[in-house]
Amino acid sequence: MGRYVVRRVLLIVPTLVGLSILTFVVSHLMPADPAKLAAGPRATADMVQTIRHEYGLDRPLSVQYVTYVRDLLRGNWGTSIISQHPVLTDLRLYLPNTLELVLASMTIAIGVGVPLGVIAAVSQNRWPDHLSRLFTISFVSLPSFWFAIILQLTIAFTLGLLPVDGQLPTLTAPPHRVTGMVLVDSLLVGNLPLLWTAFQHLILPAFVQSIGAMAIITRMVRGDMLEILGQDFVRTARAKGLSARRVVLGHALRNAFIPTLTLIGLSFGFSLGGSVLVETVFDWPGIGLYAVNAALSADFEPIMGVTIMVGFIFIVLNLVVDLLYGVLDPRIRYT
Amino acid sequence: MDLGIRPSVEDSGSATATGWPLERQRSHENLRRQVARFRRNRLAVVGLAIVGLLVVIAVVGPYIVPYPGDTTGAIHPEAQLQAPSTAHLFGTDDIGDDILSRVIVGSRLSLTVGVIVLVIGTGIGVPLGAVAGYFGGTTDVIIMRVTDIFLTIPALILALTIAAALGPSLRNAMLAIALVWWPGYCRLTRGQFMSLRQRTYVESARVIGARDARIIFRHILPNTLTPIMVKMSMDIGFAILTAAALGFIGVGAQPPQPEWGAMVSLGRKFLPNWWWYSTFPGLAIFVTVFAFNMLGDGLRDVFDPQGVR
Repeated sequence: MGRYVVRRVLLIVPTLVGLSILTFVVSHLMPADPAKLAAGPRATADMVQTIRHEYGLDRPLSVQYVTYVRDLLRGNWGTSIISQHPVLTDLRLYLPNTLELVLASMTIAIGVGVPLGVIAAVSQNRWPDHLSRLFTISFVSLPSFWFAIILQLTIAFTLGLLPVDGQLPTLTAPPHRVTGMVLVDSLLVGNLPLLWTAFQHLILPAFVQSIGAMAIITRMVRGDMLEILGQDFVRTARAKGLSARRVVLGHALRNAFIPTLTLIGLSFGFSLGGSVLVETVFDWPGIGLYAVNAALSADFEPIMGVTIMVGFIFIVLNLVVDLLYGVLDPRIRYT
Repeated sequence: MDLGIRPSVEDSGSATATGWPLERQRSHENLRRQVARFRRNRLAVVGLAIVGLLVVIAVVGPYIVPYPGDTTGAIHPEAQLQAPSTAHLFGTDDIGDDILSRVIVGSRLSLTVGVIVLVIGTGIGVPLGAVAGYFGGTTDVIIMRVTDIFLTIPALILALTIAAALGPSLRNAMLAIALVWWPGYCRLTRGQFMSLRQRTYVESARVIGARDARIIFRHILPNTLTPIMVKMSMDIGFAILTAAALGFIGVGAQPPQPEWGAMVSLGRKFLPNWWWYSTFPGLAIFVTVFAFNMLGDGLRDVFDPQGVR
């Protein structure tokens, strides 16, 4: 087991290197000459050249790349033009909010998706199955930003049931920062009214964020359950006289768990990416909104920072899922 | 499928009762079975109908819109932000343009984007996957590493980054999405090539002395087409969705282009009182993507029923 862990962890290194190369290449895609931009419209050619030398932009690309990686590892991820803060500082501020949103949405997605998938499998080809297929395809086709707006219009504006946007009401102070996630922190601090408000603000964004993953999880659980329910050991259990529920929950579901685990890991990553849209509509102060604002202001360092951070999280997530796989299914460790 | 063509009497010795040679008849039956199977899937048929309608609208649309001038952003201050009515079925926007007209013309934009993204994506991904799968070895490892890196970053974020780097425009957004999409096709093609290159007919071809290129194009590639096309039909909906998302963020199509995502974004300022501005373009996105997904789902069901259902 130890050998498997070490081997798997070492495998991330080339992927991380690849990630840094990709972001380096993308950051050099800009058609504008960064030295000219920094120098300003009235700079002479000499001034531009000086700036170019100062920033090391006249060195060969391979040297620039080494400098780039060294900066990344040292925590120097550039500075945001808008906030005037180092990008890494900004990211540390906003990342917990995105994590809060993604975790909440994954909880909803799994909590609703798994039972729905089981129901669909058990009632295969009857109306609950067809209905769930209709929902699945619908949810996957919904533009999340549009669905968010529709929910805002109906539930928030018209019915007034939930707040329109934001993580907290305006001018409300967040709780003392422990994890950075408002919901968790207000619980830890014991501030229950704040916890309730924060929860209300979280519901709509988390729900909108969850539907994509929910649809995929439902389909996958259904597929896996169908495959397992057809297998011999299930028939044996039924022949033994076990009730349908015992068979489904006790035997079948347990075996469907492993592929679902990968799926959950992947969905987490995609939720992380798609949070950009939900954060924009609900004005949720996460790294997605940070990236969008930066993109619209041609502020490039923050966007690169978000990409690297999300890529890194995704890589680590895949690693965790693979390791869990190794724990749950001993056969994998020996391949 | 009676095309009125009859084989001549001196045709192959394996003529059957219908007069067609055996192989032809089998592939006729195959096709008929596939069509019947597709038709049984009601959702897929509906999807096909809607997609057909959309294509017609995209092609014919600009000529039949009620307010052709509005599609390029003509300003009508007197008609600003009017609610849906018989004169303007979807209402008007903040500069007085008819939203229905803009949505109709926007369909052309969205469908074109979907197609171009897929064409570029497969154009890059399929050859790379073929090379990786056929030659194996170091080439394969290198190509797969590159593919993995692209697949590490969530699609929307990478597309956003590339589009922002290149500069906001519809063309750059398309390029960005294609760059995010090609790894999927590379992987698929590689997998197909790896399994197919072991087959006897490939061995035979090589023994006769056929060059690699000929083997790839003439023998293996035609057999990989079906899974690739199934994937394309399932992907086009998401390509359109991603393009709309980039338009919504603001790094895709720029005003006054009537791109659906951009229109939803512009309409946000006018919530909730002038709700129609964001609602109808977004509805168009949903219906389009839904139709393509249903169609893709049905096609996948016909051609690859062992997949995750």
